[in-house]
Formats: sequence, C-alpha cells, structure tokens
Amino acid sequence: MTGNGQHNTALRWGDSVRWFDARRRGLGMWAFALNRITGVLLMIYLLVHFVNISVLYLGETAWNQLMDLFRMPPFLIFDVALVLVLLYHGLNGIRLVILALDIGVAQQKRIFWGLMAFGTVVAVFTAFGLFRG
Amino acid sequence: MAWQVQFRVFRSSRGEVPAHFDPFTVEIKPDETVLDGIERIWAFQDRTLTFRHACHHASCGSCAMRVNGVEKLSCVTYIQDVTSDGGTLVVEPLRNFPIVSDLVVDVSPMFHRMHEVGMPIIRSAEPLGKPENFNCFENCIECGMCVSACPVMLTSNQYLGPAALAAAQRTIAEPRGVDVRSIWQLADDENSVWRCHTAFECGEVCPSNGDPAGAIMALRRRLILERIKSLFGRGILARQRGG
Ligand code: SF4
Repeated sequence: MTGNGQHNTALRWGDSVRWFDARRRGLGMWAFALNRITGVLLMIYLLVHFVNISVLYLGETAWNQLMDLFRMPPFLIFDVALVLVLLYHGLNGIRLVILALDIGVAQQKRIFWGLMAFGTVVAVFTAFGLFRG
Repeated sequence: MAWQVQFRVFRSSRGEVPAHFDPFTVEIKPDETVLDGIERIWAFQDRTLTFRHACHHASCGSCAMRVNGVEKLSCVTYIQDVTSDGGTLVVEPLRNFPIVSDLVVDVSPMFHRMHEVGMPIIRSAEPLGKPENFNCFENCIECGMCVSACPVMLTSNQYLGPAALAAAQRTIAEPRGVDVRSIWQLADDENSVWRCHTAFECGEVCPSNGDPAGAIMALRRRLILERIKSLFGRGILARQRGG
C-alpha cells in the first residue's frame, strides 16, 4: 500500500466475476448483478440480430423462411425472454437515473419493486399478444 | 447449552503462506459472538492466528471481517444469527484491502482517502443545522466494511470508495473551516462519485446505520447542479476552472 491511499495490489480482472455473486447480499446488489447480466445478454442479442438481418442479402425467400421459423413457439418463448431482459434492464436503468439525481434514495427498494411490478404486467400483456399472433 | 460449530478460517501471511482455510471445531454458546469463537481458537487451538479486536462493543470497527461471505463486526455478530448447532462458519478478512496476515487487513488506504476529504469526525450529539442535513454518517467508525462490500471496488482500486465519498459529502455540506475546493475537485474525478454503480451494499453492511450510498447520491446531485451552473460561468466548478 502506498502513502497516497491507493492499494498497490494489481487489479485482477478475474474479480469482475464477483460482480455477479449476490449471495446473502441486499436487494441493491441483486439489482446491480442482474443489470450487468441483462446488459451482457442484450449485447449478445444485438450481435445475433445483426446476423439475422444480414439474411436479407440472401433474398426474399430466405428472409421469409427465417421469419416463418421465428413465428414458431420455441422462438416465441425466446421473444418473451428477450422482452423480460429488455424490461428489466430498461426499468432498472430508469431507477438508477432517478436515484442518481438523489430522488427517492431512501425508497430505492420500493422503487425497484414498483417498477418490477409494472414490468411484469407489461411482460404478461406482451407474451399474450405474441402467442395470440 | 453449547453448540459445536466448525470454523473455517482464512489463513495467509503476506504471501509467505499460500492462502487457504484452516478448520477448527469450537464449543460455543449460541448467544456468544463470532469474535468469542475466534478468541477461543487463538487461546486453545492456534496461537499463530492473527486478527484485530479492541472495544468488543461495536465502536472501534477493528474486528470487521467477512462471516459466511458478508461483512460483519464480529464482536456483535451472534453465533445463533449466522449458523446452527453442527453448522459451519466461514471467516475471511475484508475484501478490497491488502491482506497483512490471516484476518488482518491494512485499512490505511481508506484512512488516507478519509484524510484527503477532510475526515469529518462529528458525533450525532453535535448540532447539525437543518434536519434534512442529518445523516447517520456522522457515526462512521471507519471499519472499512462498506469498502469491502462495494462491488465496484473489486475491480477499480482507484475508486475513492463509499466511506471517503460519504465523508466528502459531509465535509462539503458542513465544512467547519475546511477548505473544500480540493474536495470538490476530488469528488468530480472519474474515479469518484461517477464511478458508483448504486448497488447499495455499503449501506446494507454498515454497522452504524450509515448511508454512504445516500451520501454519494447527494454529492452527485450537488455536482450536477454545479456543472449546470458552470455552463453559465457560475458556481464553484467554474471558479476552479478559471483558476
Ligand atoms: S460508512 Fe459505515 S461501513 Fe463504511 S467505514 Fe463508516 S461505519 Fe464502516
């Protein structure tokens, strides 16, 4: 350790894995870990999405075949999962912006559950709409 | 009636001994504390075990450690609250500090940072002006548990950390003669207020019911307002930029 208050232990990138270890921790830590996980999942989805839309280069028939595939129930389940991930990341993001402005900090857990309740309702309606076609 | 508890204690000595866990079986009453168990291990089983303790009543912060993965003041953590008869207790040093030996960490990085931000040591009995200024942070015992619990500090050892940032907010809110210009600068640094990811774990583990995360958010709001003011050439940040 140095005299300027900084640790002289080298930064260990492996420690970032521990961001996701929220066992026995509070709600805020779970929200933080889930935010990171959903962020990574959205990043992966974005890359997959780029691959999907590049099928357009293969012509209309190939694109229509892909769309037919995506309308099958296993892919609809994937769509619902994507909506859940999007809703979580977006709504928790709104919570973080509100808190960063020092609004409702003492109520952060209630804000979290309120937004999650809203997200659940939206997800149920979306899933219903997706499966009804 | 005494319980039989298996302590798994982290052992390491400045890198000389590779980090590992030693098992110790301890007969202990459920209403005794984790520190009682550790002292019993030291007294009757292994005199080489090193750990810090002083007041035994949650006012010095020196016995802070991780019990089953969560930061606790071991002097006020009762056995019955963290394990059961025949159960296991994993005892580790605080994270995010250099390990000196076994359960002892070097907390001086945090003290240096507290010093940089004016180290406000104000007791709750002192008048604090407006009630909205009241924040239990005045009771900070500098135990370092918030620094250990903070997930951002796991990967960013340049981050000022919850205790020092809360202290910075306290000093800026009520300078009591301290020149706050350098503290504003420090708070606005990329490794400072803006680095916090709002996991709130600092407040969860704080034994003084302090609210470091709340203080960081309050400091953020002050900085946002100052940044807006500085767009019009006003406020402390604009004055600092202008020299
Ligand atoms: S703010 Fe709380 S957890 Fe952090 S050093 Fe002070 S007393 Fe300990």
